Amino acid sequence: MSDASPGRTRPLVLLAEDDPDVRDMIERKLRGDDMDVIAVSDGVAALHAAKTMRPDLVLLDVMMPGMTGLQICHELRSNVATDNLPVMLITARARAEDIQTGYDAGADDYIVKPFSPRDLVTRIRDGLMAVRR
Amino acid sequence: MTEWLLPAGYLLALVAGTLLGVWSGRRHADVRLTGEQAAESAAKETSRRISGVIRACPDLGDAFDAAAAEVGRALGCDLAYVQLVRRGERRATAWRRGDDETGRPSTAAAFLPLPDEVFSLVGPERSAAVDDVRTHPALQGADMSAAVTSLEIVSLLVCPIASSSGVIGAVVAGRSSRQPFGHHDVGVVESVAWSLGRALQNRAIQAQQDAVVERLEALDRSKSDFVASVSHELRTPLTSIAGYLEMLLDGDGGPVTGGQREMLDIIGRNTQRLQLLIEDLLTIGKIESGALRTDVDDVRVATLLAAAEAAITPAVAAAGVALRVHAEDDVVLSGDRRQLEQVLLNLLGNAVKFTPHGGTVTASAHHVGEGWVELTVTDSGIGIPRNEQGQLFTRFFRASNATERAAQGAGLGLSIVSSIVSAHGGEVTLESTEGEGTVVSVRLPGHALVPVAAP
Repeated sequence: MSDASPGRTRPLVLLAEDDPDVRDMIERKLRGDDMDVIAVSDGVAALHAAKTMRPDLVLLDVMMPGMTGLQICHELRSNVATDNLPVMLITARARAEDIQTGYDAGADDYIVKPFSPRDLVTRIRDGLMAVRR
Repeated sequence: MTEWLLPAGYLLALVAGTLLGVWSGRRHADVRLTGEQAAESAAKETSRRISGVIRACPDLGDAFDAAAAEVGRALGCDLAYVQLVRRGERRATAWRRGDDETGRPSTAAAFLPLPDEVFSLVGPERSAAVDDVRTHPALQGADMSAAVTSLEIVSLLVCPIASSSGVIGAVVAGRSSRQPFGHHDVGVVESVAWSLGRALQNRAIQAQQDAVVERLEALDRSKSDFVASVSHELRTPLTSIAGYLEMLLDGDGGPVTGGQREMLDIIGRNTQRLQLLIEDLLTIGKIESGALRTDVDDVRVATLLAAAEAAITPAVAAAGVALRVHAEDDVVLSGDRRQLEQVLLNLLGNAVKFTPHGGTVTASAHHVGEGWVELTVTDSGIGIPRNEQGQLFTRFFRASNATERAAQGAGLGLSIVSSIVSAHGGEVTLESTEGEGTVVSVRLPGHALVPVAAP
């Protein structure tokens, strides 16, 4: 796959997280690390933004009202326009079977709350690199 | 004199006659009593036998069928009924002469329930024997339903099935000619009614107990679910706290002064404590709900010890203790890798936490033969008071000498160790001397790895 964002100098990350404090924290950290962020608070908005804004990576909270991160991930994977988009899930559920469910839904990475923002940035960078390769 | 004698002779004769009469009367009574005794003993035997049949029935429906048929046969009836009247619902099971020949039981539906007038004859401890239903005053005008009229039931016996709430049904026997039921018949049917009443009551008690057990189980499940939900919910606010803390310390919010850094470190340490507590609660919740699955794999102890050592090294360095780890390289445990890691980490964590600066913590593993491997964690720490050692594996228990700030914790670690180890079929033993140190040994199923022959 070619670069999804031709002419873009900073990577664009779509963030869907319903908790406003966690959402703001992630957004602040990513912006501080030279990334652009589209932050939404629910699944439907996330799916819409993923299709229209062409982000380089999608960061999804699993437990969200309306549509869960897993459902969005599944939708993205079954759509030709978005099936190659790197998807990272963030969740408060850390059981081995929860993580497996995430990978089964087509996620590329899985981060458990509470996480280190520094570590999150590293993993997002890894995810972006993997696509460019 | 004669005048006196006559009456005397008369009196004598009278006395003799009376004596004779009494004597012969007694003889007569003896015969009657013997017949009475035989009838009574036969009735008792019949009652005993029918009770046995009822007890042997696997369910209540069978017991009702058997009771009706047994009463019908034993008492020479043309019709025998067991009828329940509860909350407006009426259920009946019936036996009719001829059923035994056809081999088919009469279906209850073929009979109409007896009218209320019949039940009005009985009380919780009062049976009614009606010699002739056609002339009995209480049954005049009663709709003696098809069941009775079509079979031309004339003599009727109704014995109540009673519970603590009153009459809940009756065992009814009927004869189609005027052959009144005697008191032995009443005895037999009353004992059958009593047996059925007891069977009903037993079932009610059983149903109540089942309901209580079910409610308790549901309560227990909801409690475990609650613990799991709360633990998950706690992770979200913790994400903001721990995340912003890291960002502050990283200078993402601007330069941090020395004093601020000290304060932030304390927030950090306590955030970590909360996080560990949440993880422990989740593990406990899983253990309680039975969701803690134990996958059995071969786990190399050397790998396990190396992973635990890597995880505990920062704490070891901060505490200023020496950590020594040694394993017989070829020892393998049969168990769940993650859970065994947690066992080792909890034990090492405790050892490091309770060992003062300059002390030593040792972790070792060896094969003890016959399918068992022993993991031992030894420390030169503060030890546990002897009288408190028995409570160590109790949740939230903290030894009275665990007062240092470094020794903060919720008291869940050893309880988790103990649950995981017993889920693996192993056992935990602990020896400790206050002021000298503690040795915890965990015995788990395992074996020495058979070395692969070099090519």
